[in-house]
Amino acid sequence: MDFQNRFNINFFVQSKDVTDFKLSDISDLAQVFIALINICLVIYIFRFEIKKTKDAKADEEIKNITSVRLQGFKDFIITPNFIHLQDFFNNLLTLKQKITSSQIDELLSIELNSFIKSEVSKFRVNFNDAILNVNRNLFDTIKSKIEFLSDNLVTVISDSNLDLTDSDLFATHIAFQINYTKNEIVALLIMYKGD
Amino acid sequence: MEAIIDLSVFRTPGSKVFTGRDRGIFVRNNSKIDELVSSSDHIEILVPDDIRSINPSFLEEFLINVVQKLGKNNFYKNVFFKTSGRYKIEEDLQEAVDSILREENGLSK
Repeated sequence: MDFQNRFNINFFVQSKDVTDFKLSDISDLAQVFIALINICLVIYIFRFEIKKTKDAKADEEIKNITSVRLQGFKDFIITPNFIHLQDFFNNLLTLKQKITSSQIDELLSIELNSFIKSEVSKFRVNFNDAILNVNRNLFDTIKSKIEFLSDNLVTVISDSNLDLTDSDLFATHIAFQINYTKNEIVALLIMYKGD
Repeated sequence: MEAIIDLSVFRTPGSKVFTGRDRGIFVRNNSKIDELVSSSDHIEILVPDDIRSINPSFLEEFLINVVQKLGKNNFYKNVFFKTSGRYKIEEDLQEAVDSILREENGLSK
């Protein structure tokens, strides 16, 4: 028995004529090919599903952390201190009663300016400093808006020759600016997403 | 050696207040206070008599580098504001200095 017959490997080494191929052979090969594709697809879908589940879990975790952070921000920072925000703007509106003369003289002007700056300082200590530890950008944005308001109020009271005892002029040059800034800050707090 | 900065040189014509960060930066650059603090033992800042307010927003930008360089105690020892009018600057100055240091250190007060 020669080597090939002994190990029964004639099938592998004997070349097969192309004409010997039957339809069933092609069908067998196609089935093997389709099976391979199916295996690849199963592996791909399995891995895709695992990744999708992992991503969804990570997203859910981020959402939970953000939700807890926002709830804490609301419960511990905003709710207990919101009264200070309201007081600050309401106190500024009392400028209407404090402006007693159509011509604000130097003494009254210094007194009113001092009142405005003292209210700004109280607002910072009672409200905005609490935000500094949570979010620096939000703190800076609020600080900048309050600064802009107080600079404008001080300038109107000190530099203008407006009769601020006139209700319309007071509303335009003082009350409007106070209410506008209040609405801006409330909007900032509402739109805060915890990032 | 003592250096003198006269704020009347830097006031907006007709204005009785110094407010705003932009104005503070302008006066800081043009008065060269950052260089004077290195070359002088003391700096005296003259406030015009008829000034009615110098807001912390202005002071923060005007003094930021000086306060950061000297620290709180040395700042008050070396930099003096001379006011002879009715307006007193102490509270606004303290608010500005504390705010500058808070920028550096987070919450300080």
